[in-house]
Amino acid sequence: MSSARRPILEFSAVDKSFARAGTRLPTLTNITLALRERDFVAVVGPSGSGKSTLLDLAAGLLRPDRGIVRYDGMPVDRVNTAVGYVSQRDDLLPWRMVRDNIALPLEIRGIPRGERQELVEQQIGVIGLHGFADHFPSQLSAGMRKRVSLARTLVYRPRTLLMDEPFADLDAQLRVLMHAELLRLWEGTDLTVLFVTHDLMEAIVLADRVIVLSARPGRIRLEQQVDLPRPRPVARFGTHARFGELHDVLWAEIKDDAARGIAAT
Amino acid sequence: MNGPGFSPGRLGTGAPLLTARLAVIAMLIVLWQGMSGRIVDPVFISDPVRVIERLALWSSNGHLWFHLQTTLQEAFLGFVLGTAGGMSAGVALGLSPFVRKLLDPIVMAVASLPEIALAPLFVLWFGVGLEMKVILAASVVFFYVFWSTLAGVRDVDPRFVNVLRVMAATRAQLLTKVIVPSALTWLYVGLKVSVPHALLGAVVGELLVGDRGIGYLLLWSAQNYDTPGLMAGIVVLMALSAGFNELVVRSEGRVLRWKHES
Repeated sequence: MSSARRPILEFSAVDKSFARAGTRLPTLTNITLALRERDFVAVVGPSGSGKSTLLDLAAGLLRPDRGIVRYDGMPVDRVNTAVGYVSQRDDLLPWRMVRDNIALPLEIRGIPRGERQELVEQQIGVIGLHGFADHFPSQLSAGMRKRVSLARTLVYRPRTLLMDEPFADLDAQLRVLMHAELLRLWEGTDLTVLFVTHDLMEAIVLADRVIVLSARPGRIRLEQQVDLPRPRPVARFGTHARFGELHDVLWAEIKDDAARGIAAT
Repeated sequence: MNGPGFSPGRLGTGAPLLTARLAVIAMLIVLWQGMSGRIVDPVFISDPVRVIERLALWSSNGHLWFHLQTTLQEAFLGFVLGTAGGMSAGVALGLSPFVRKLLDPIVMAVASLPEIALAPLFVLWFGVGLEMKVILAASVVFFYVFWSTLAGVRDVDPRFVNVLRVMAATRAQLLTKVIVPSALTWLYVGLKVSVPHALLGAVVGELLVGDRGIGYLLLWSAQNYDTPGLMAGIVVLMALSAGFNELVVRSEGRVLRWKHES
């Protein structure tokens, strides 16, 4: 971890609560976290620990009650258009075909039609959906929609990716392929990634650092470096000895809250 | 009853359905012809043969085209005007919570009025000609389109709006790329109801004042105890309404193609 890379996304003592049935429901408590350029940070934690809220704060869709969120040194006090956000639900516009959904951010940026089509075709290749370009989202499987959603974000090359369980609906094989694809992309660019998941294995395979959030209200229980070599062979990574150790460390932190979460539901 | 001949899938589409429909219509016409003069006095219901004769007469002497053109023009202009106004007002009020709160009671009060009751006032304001009928049709259409557009704009999924905001969309882009396309589903609900009501506005206007249009033709026939004329006028209105409706349904099929392909 070279300290020469500058901080890009910083949370300083951030609290966030939501109004619920007349009271304030605290969701995040005292979150302090910094991502430097090219960091790949995964956030894990039980349901309701405020993982998605963290991303909404980074995207400027929510404001903290206390503390400050900075992007590239500036407080995030409006929608953060420097990030690409792949949210938990795919958010594809149902009236647009696959190619037009992927072209959407390019249209918004005023990229000429010819160039747009070229970039879209290229992305459709990346996600392996040749032959589905002229389908509507309702005609695709959940996994396919997730891939389109990812393509729609990657196509405009945001400097920072906020990803909310982007691969949760994919089958195991496809998920491994998407992991490899995401790492390939990340390794070739200056991309910074904040990746929310509740899959510990996924977190370890992908990230430099894993943040463990507690059950609600979410606070940081552990910040664990993933000292595994890159590039990582994602498909047979589980057999790595250090992988098992890291998994044990993280699981030890998360299991009590996870069990409490089950008891609470 | 689930034999091959009765499966709903077989009658569901295409030529068999069309044939069955035509058969039902033919049966009703035969029934009408049969009842007239035997069960019911033709003074009240005339009969299909006389109605067809009347339509043939009107079409050869030019009455049909003259009056049809008038009504068509009024209803069409009213429809376009009311739709444009209703959509604009619906989007504007849907987007601004403040304006909506400000105008809500006024809008409710005006909307609860049967618009047809405004006809005499419109005669005073706009005279007895084309303008009055167009405005009357437009005012009826306006509220249907307004309500459905407003519902559509309020119904826009905030997730879509947020996704586009993060992509750096301007307000105008949010409107054209999310809010309007999303509201179209609702808008078509309003448009389908509006079509017969545009015709209603035009015909009521003609019944009230003026010297032309299918409504005028109806009134004139009634005043002369001319039942075949009345029935012929009603048949023309039905055909007109069905034709209008077909246009809206077809355009919906094109615009909302994403809804029907899955």
